[in-house]
Amino acid sequence: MSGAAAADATLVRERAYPEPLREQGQCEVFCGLSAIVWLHRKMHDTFFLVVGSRTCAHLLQSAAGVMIFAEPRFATAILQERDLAGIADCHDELDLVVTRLLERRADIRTLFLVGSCPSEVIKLDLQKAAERLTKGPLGLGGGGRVKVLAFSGSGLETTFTQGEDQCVAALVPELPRLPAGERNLLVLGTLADVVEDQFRRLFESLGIGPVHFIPGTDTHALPPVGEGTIVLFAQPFFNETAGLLASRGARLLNTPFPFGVEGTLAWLGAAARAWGVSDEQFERVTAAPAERARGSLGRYREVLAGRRMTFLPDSQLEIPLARFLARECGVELLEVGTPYLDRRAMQPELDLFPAGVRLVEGQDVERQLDRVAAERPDLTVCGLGLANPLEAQGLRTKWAIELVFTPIHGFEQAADLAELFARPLLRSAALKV
Amino acid sequence: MQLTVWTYEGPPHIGAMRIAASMNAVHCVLHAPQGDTYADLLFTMIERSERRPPVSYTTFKARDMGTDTAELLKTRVQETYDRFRPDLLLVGEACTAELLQDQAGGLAESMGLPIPVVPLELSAFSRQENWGASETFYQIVRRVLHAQVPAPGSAPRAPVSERCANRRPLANLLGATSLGFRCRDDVVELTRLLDSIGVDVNLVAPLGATPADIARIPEADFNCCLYPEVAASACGWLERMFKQPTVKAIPIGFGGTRDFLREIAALTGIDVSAAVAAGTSRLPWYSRSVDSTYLTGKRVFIFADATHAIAAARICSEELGFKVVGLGTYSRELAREVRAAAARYRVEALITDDYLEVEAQVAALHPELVLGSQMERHIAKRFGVPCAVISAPHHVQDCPARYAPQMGFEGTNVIFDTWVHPLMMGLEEHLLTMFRGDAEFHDEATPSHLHSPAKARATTPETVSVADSSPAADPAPAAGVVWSPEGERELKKIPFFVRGKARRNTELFAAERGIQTITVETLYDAKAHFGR
Amino acid sequence: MNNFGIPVTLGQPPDGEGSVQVLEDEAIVGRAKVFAVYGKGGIGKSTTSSNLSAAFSKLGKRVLQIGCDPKHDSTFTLTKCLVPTVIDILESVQFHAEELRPEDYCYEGYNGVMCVEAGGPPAGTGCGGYVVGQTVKLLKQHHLFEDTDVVIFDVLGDVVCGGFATPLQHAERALIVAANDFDSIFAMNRIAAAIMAKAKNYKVRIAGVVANRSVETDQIDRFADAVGLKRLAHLPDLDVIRRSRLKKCTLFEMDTSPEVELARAQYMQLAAALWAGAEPLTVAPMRDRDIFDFLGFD
Repeated sequence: MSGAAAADATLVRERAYPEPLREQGQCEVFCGLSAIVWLHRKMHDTFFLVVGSRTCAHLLQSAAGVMIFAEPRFATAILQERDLAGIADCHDELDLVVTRLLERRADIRTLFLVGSCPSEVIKLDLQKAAERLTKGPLGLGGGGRVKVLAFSGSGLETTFTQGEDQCVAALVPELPRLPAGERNLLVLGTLADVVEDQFRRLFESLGIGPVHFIPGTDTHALPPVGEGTIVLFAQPFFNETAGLLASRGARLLNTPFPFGVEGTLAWLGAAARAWGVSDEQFERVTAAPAERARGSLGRYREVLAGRRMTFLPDSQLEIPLARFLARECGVELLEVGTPYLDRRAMQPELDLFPAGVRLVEGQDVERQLDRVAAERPDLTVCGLGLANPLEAQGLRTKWAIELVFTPIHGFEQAADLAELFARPLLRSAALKV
Repeated sequence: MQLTVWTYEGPPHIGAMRIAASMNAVHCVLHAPQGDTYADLLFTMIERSERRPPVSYTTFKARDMGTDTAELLKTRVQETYDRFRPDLLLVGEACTAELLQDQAGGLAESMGLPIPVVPLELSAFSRQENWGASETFYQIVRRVLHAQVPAPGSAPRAPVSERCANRRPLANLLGATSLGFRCRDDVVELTRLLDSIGVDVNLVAPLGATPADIARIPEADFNCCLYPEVAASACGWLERMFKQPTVKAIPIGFGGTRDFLREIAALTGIDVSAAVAAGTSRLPWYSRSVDSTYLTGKRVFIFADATHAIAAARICSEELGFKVVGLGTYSRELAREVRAAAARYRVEALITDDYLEVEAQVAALHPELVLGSQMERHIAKRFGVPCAVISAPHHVQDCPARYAPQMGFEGTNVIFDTWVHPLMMGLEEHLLTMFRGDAEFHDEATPSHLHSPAKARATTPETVSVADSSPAADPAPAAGVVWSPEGERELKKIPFFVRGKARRNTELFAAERGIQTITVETLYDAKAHFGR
Repeated sequence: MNNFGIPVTLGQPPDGEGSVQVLEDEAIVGRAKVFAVYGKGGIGKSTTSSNLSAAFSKLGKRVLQIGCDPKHDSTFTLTKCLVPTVIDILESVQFHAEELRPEDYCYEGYNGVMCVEAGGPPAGTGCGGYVVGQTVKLLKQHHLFEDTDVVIFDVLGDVVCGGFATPLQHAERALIVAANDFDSIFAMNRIAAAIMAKAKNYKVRIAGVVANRSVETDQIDRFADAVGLKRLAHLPDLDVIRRSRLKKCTLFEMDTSPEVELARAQYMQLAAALWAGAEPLTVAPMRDRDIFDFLGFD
């Protein structure tokens, strides 16, 4: 790793932010398989084949909800008694399933074999299966057109958004080498197309380029990575991928995440400084959108200022979102729970965090709900399994998963993001029943 | 390995959860990895349940696998008991935990809790949700009632007619569950129906029952097995152990409801002729009225849980005058009953849990109406065929706020409306094409309730959600305002269902400020100005 | 004890006066006593099992006998025919076990004894053990272990793989059938080792040995003393037993004679002893080399 990379990447500034409370008990969070629901929408030429049980199939369709209308680009190869008893050879069975699948879908160019809790427990080696299939007649190595990769979305190892980390990490070995002397910017994290385009325009205006977003829509046109690569994290949950990119020589930028005006300015600013863009140019490019965003936040700040909020753990987005709400919307944070606190990634956020907030890593859902019942926040951000029961107790909620599916990054979406939290409060005020 | 796109039933532990969620004072502990808690949202979102399902999970992770997952289970069991104080505890394993072989049930039993602990063996790799529900209900009933089973050789129970000679007969309604199709309303309707013939309901189970209620099951004169997928096993046991007769007729449809009443009459000696004759069903008259003539011979494809599929086939054939062209079920446990029913309509039963097979049959048969679960609704929508949902698995829109039973006479009214309505809209469409050349009727109009079949075939499934609105639909911009090409391109990124509004607002914004060319910046300035 | 009369779980000490605590034992909760019968091939396991089943039924117990041998010849003396096997029935529904009901594969035999034959693997898959495992699962799912008092697994002679040991996961007591000869005692030693290995994780224990088809039992007794086994019954080499197989009936249906009475009495006392609860034995099997030297040289 180059000196420049070391300077930004991993120096964790010692900050007097107290250690989070760590709780362990029943966790009310999705497993990593749920990432498939948005990843398959983003990567248009992919298919995700989970190797698991009926629970996995059931989870995916429960999480995918109304997406049932199209024939989806994901499915589950359900393990049965015969597979477990060793009567049927799992690898032969898998080959049959994959062949049948690819024959139906001529548009698939990358197939992900996704590990689950059962496939992990029985130690089914999907990495090996992926290599074999890639070399086989349907795969790129054997005259076919499909690249087969493997990653694990098992709940034993991955919580919700960490599924995306595992998937992208599986793509890293496929990234070509960036020639020496060249440089590029890699933005990491699934973003809505419209948000990507907005960022592209901003980077272009700043004179930063070439810029690549990963995961992108075409898995056979992957960006190159090397010592000239600067990595900007659009999402906080890329622990695994970060390490792999760093070992390819990339320089990782540690910045706050682009939520709200402050976050977006800091994020773009870090890229600009790393690229050598002048402060004047940066100011010129970002002034108007920043101002516009500040203006549009006004109406939501009125609704949110002084409101007390608690975040239950879910996506690892809790800390940056809470930071935005506290600093730009005047929200009073009671408790912010996160499934996993990645110190390296979160330090810049914690540096901006208001003091005295109860930070919790991990979860014991019963105890956490006891605290919510006692403190009665004005808004609780939580999963769909808990939202209605809390509403029935007279507590307003914001269902967390919407935050993963809605465009919320960048200047133009700052107000939209605030609106997501304001809406339940406005509704509650409007209803007379 | 079974390649599965969509699954009709969840794994069997979901069935166990349904029983726990249906009852009161019952709690379930599931040994399961992190992530399996997704199932809670099925109850809170589809049924809009106001309480969390009474289920606690061990949610073990990789690091727990290195220590003692069995200890983790025991801790969770103890915590659960201490916090919730249920009257009865169910202990089961999700699929992954089954592979660990911690023997969760046995462990919990050995903890010496002062309440009954019912261990569940759920065979996650060979069975599914309905079986899990059936097995859980059976084990609860058996556990609670075991001590009451008369010893062999004791005096037999008197026949029902004798027992009820001087009092109103007492019936149990068994099988209604959480996430079952319209169970909430069916139970209400049947209670009224039974009351109208002079029969009282002793209890409903599992929906709303406590373990103390289960203990009173033998007090009733007979059991109504309303949903065999869930209750047949328990009813069979009650018959064998307590000689409690089971009324097997399913009161769905006019004929079905009458058969149900007649079976009770035969059992109890009650005269039900008045109830059978009067009935508050409008179905017979509506079906006979002249505007229903066009329903004759409409080709119907039915695929659902066995109970609802069989009932639907009879209603379609005998009460609505449709023609049954396909009949099937995913409930393999009742496959033979569905096959027998299919033979009556001279079709071959489709017994499968593979959604792709069902889709292929619908494609091959070109039915005019599809009756099934939410899966069949999706198939029908894609093919542009009218449809109605008649069974689980179903979505939130199939749990209506209004009273909408499927059983009893009111059920026949609900069914007539629900199944005929999609066809009536088709009639309107037919009339529209009849008047095609007429100046007043526009033949481009597509039926409002259907996703247009032409559009669905033209676009690939992936791009359906961002289909470009046809140029003809966009009104001309306000005078003096023009869209730049980049602005138009950016506008198209906005989801189609809000695009029209965004266009109008931006043009208004531009006009007010004297802006003549709308750029990308203008678009976002307008957005910021108007808010969402 | 809760307040609506539901008996609580096993292992709970009685909670004193005023309670209607039911002291639970397996039979009251409705779980059958499960026995597994092993032994060298051809030694008379099926004869032993079917006569034992008949004996239990004579004691007034409800009995379920399960033949776990691809030869599916365990229960024919009870049913008077070779009943369809579970594997045959599964094939008829394309292996969709969910479609099956108990009456499809469970047949009533002599004196109400219920009979099931697991059968052998379908051509090409070759795992009989798997079939046994699947059969046991099916029976559990259909609650057949709950609606009966006694279950007897008659398991094929050479336990070659895990599947054939599945009955040991459900049995409380295992019986080994042997003759007074080298080969069957050698086999008995190996079977005992397999059972003791299972005993580490399951509740199964060895009940004892049934000496079959033997005039003397000296070698069996010597071996039993040396390893900690007990002989529970002794069936001499009676021609009437051989004839009962050919007549396709149990000894309880044969015309009476002193030999028939002797044999019947042995089976009845065995049934009674097993029902009363044979004490679990701690058996220390010998190494192959040791038993080789031990037997015979006298």
